[in-house]
Amino acid sequence: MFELNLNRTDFAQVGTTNRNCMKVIPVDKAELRKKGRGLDKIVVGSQNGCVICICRKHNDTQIVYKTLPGAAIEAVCLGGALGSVQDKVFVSSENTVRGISKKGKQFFNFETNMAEHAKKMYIYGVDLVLCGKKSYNHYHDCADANYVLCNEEIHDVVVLAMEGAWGGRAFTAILACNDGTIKVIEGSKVDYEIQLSDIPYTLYLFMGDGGFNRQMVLYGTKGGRIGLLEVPAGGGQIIWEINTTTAAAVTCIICYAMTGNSSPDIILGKEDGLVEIYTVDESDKTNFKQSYQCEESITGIGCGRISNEEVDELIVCTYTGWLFSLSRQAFGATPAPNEKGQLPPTQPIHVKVQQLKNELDELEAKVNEERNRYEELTRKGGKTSAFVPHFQVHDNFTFNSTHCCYILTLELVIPIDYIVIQSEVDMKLLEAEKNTAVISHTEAEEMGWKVLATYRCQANTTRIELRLQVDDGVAGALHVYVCPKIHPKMCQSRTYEVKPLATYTRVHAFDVARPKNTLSFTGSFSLAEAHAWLVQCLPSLPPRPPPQDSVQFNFQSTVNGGTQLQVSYSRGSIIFTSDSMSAIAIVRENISEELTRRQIKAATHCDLDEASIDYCLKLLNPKMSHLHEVERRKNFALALKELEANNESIEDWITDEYAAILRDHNKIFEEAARDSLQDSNIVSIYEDLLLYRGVLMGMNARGRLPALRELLFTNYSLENVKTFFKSTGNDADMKK
Amino acid sequence: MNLQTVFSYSLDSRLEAKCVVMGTLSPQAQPTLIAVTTANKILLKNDESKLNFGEKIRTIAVAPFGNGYDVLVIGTESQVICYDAHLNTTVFQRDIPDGINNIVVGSMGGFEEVVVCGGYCAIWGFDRAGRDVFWTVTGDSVTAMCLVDYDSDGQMELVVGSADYEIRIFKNDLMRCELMETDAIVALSALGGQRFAYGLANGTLGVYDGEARVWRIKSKHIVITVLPFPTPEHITCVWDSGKIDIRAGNSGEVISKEFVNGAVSGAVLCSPSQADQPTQLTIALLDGKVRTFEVGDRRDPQEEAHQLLREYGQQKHNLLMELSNYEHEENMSKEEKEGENRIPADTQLETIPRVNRVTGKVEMVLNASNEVPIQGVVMFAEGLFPGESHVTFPKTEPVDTITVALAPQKDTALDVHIKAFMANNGSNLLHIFEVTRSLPRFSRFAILLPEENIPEQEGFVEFKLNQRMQKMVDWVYDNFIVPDDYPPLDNEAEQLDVKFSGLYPKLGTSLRIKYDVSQQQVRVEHSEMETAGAVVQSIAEHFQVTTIESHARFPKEFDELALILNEMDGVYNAKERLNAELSESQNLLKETLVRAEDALHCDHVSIARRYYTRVKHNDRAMRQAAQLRVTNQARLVTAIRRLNKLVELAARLRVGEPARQVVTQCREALSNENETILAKLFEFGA
Repeated sequence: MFELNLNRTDFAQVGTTNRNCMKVIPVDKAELRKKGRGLDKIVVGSQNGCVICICRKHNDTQIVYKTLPGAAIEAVCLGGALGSVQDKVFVSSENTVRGISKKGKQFFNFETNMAEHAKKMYIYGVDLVLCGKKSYNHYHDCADANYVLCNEEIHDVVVLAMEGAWGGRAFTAILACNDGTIKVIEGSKVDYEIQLSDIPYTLYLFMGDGGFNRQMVLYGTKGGRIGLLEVPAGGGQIIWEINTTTAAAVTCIICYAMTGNSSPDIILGKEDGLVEIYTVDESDKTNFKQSYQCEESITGIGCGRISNEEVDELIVCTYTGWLFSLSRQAFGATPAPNEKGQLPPTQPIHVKVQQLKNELDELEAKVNEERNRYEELTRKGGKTSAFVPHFQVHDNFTFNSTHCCYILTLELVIPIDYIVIQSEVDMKLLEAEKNTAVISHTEAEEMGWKVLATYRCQANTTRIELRLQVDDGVAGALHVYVCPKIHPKMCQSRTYEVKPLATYTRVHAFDVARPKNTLSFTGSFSLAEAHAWLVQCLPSLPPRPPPQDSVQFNFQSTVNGGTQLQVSYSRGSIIFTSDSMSAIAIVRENISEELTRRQIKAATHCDLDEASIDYCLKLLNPKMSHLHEVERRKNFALALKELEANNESIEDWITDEYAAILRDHNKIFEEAARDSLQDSNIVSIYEDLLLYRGVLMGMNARGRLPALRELLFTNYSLENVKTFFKSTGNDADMKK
Repeated sequence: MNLQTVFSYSLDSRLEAKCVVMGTLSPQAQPTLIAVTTANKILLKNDESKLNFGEKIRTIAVAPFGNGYDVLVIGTESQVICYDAHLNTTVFQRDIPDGINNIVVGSMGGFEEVVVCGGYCAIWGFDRAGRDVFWTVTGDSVTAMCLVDYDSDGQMELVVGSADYEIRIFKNDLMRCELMETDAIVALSALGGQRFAYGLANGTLGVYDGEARVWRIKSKHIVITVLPFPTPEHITCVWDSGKIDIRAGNSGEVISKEFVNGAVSGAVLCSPSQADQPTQLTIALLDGKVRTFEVGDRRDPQEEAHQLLREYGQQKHNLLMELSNYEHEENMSKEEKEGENRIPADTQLETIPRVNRVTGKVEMVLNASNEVPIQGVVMFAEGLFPGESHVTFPKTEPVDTITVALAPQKDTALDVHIKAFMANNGSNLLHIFEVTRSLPRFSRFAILLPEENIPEQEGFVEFKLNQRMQKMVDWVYDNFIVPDDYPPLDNEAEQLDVKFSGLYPKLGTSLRIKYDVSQQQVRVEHSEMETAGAVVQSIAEHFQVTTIESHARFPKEFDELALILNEMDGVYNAKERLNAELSESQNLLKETLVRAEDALHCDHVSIARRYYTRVKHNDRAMRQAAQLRVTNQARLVTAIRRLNKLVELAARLRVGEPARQVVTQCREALSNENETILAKLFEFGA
């Protein structure tokens, strides 16, 4: 399949936007009837509250209307009578939903009784669905119909189409929740949940209407996966789930026939600025087709024919508010002749450039004036306070299991000058391909910090991604100072908490058959207190405890082959169960500390199972063996290459295995560059296991670390490591 | 303009970094790519044969010494070999015990064709017959070289970059100019005219026009090479990561970008054999893949305009943001402003460089007015810190003053860009106060009061200088940190006598500078030759003096010289002896092997066994001998390197022709085995 040649054309800069605040309005029916032709328009709502509708004429952007600024626009939806063109614009801000007419006038205003801001919105005929952080509200013709309160944050919502044969089902909405589930809501109750391995972030009705049975939903996750669900009444299933090209969150999905296939394609926009196009075949399976990289995170995508009736365009809206189109049509290509068959007059591009340049000069003069005025102010003295320019920092700090590190992304609407890292926690700053900033470390220990560093960005960087590798068990604050190119010079500090068990993620199932170590605390503490301690140790827990008397959460490690941790707690009791002694030791350390700090008396009981060590080692074995195999093949490849260089036709006398290695020489080296024992932190997982077991058994195993490293690097086998752990466990002289 | 791939192929071997050249190795042949593999072989494209070398190859080059074709020049870890691949003969071969890092070939100064080899601290020039035509020393390991007509006199000068952050320009063997950079030089390329590009190990890329730097940029990648391509006004930079960019030569502005997948070994240009063909750029990757590019047509002007539009759009956006901030400010109520915990508008930041005699460090003291706490300080400076920046955050509650200790590793003048984060405690919006301070060249010395005494200095250098006292005093103020409360130096005095004590990392040393107007004599007293040399060079630069002849005595270095010369004798003797032993045991081994095989043929198994046992013994003995040779060689190399360095230090006590004379005469003395006069040369010059 050949690639589409996508050309970028910038339409406008509209100011910072939230997710899902840009839509393509289909061509007006009346206009179409009258003229027999027409173009789609674009509507976008920005954080300053403006709703802007634009169209393209004569190769230039024209504003159809622009509303006054106000509260930030949280969502933009298109609606209309069922069965007709969905071209009415509805926007939500705070807890109000407004309808905006084609001329930019407000024709509808509905103030809801919601206690929180309406973050997500879905409109279907006269049904309106609004979701706050945790509540789901359904209004039928502006009257309360249904309400559901979730325990966890809601990231997106869609409503199944109900006309025709499917009308028998109650009003059904699908919610993407932060606990890694997709909840299917019928009426005012949760019909069922579908458990995912990642947190769903974006939902979209398959093919725009739910597919052939109107019950198929596409979802995109925070970890960069997409999948297709079928959600009939009573119970649903995942049809497929695939990885996209990067592990960044999927921020928007749309289906549109972009590649010229008979069935629509799936188009994604992602947090890291990638637009990806996937084709869909007859059996609803999907294949990656191509991608486009833009420098800023994407908040909205839409498709339509904006500039030309004949050409499909992909419209992209970014966080900083760039609105641009990707189309197969080349730059400045002559637009279609108008009805009289004449070419419309186009403004020469250099005139536009000059206009903009003049505008810039004017602005610059104005800005300089303001700067001077401020300068004056600082010299004058007196009681005035310094001017604080404001700027938004769009940040995200999450643990990523693919790269096995925290990923911190920072995005600003103005270029970043440099970033300063100040950490209480020991961490390794890893290389990220897309990060072009120059990093520089400062010796931090003498000042009492663990890491101090600067990232100086290249010109015009508005988005930066940092990768931070932290070992299990360490916890503390990471302070980041973001210094943009702003005048007067100002920076913002942000603080992120590194959690001791960050490598664990919430899962839905717990394997009880594994050998288990248990740790329990019993004493006089409330459920809320217990929950608060857990939030400090483990990621992706809701900030408040669920309204139950006893709560249970399951976790699984993403890095060590998948050890599990189960926690059950109620008033006065917390019980941890895990096959990993490391996890148990880390939990014990952190919770005991908390108990001492708050002077709460609690009995601690720890039950260890030696068999769990073997089990952990077995879980680590596949990764470790693989790394050793890679290393071995690389060395062979190197040696064989040299043999080949010195001897003629060595293929004749080397074994088939060696011949294969020689043939794959380049592939092996590429693999080794990607995946090497030295660079991976797998050895530290073994070391932790040894040390933490020592801690739990009251021994100091630090002295055995060199021997362990030696064994892992030079003489690894599952049996050898098992024996090593057994022998050190029995070492009497290591007892304190 | 943009790069377009013409063809690509794989050499099917992993390559050494920076060992890729283009050359025509036989008459009437097409230029071919020549590369060195990690298995230490020289690969010729279009040619099945590979050239094998026993010694580790460090660098290769081609020289037009054949009859209408190029010969290979190969630098290894102990020799330079000029090899004619067409005739399969060695043109010349010279031993260079401590190895060759870089080779350039071309006309230089008065020499028509010269092969210039850069080693450790030393540079050799050979003519086409392998005769010595040129020798000089430089401050550290030579890491890059190129030939540039830096003074536009029609003759090429040699530009040498070394690991001690310096670029030196030599006219023949006279050093004309030193340019201080901020990290080891990794690439140098002539760009035509007086211009040349340089790349540093910290990711800097820049262009000099003569002695003036035209521009520089810094990236997180490292430059492999810079080529004057595709036009004389443009340069093409190839980075280790596979990034290739075409930039405007006079501004560094990026014109076009390309990317190859993988780490780059080297890049070369291939000039067309016919006039109507375009020049090609060939990039070889470490994994053996090769891609060749040509420059494509200019891009669609429409697209460029769009680019420009986007850029202006972004600028407009940034300006609008700033304006809206001012507007927002005006619309804010007083209460809202107070809620933000702001600092007074007239807050000032004071920065004072100071010498801390207790810790022995230079300190930058920051004081904020209005008692505004300084939350943290970031300093950016090239060549002062291990990286480009230094971050300081107080561990305790921030207050309105903070002190940052600095430890310059070299005697260079530096600009320190200070950015102080200031805000009331608890605020997450911090004001950045920016100040740039410069540190003088000799900031590692603290000036002492006239009444303070320092120990008598053993080392000194004396030279004539005819200047007014006023100017000499200016020089002191320009090059040392002199506190404001220090008693002013007398501009009219007959004699100047200033004393300094060394700071970290020169703690414990002292420096004394005397100047006598009537005798026109400067005397610098210090225990180390290197710093004394830097003082001489600084004075020469300040007063624009082109010739300084001096008298010097540095017991520490002079003793070391005697020691090295002494040791070298022994090492050379040992080397000869070991080599003789080597050939002896080789012969013995050969003989034993033949006898052993004979015995086998005659079915005398027991005798054969005895011979093989002897082979085994020989083998062990030879392994031991090899180890000895390695150690001996290492000692020799260390001695030679240190000797070269000492010669360079001695030369730096002089300026201009006398400095050159010291180098040439030292070289002569060494090659004539007349080492005894070295100490005299060091002391009195040539």
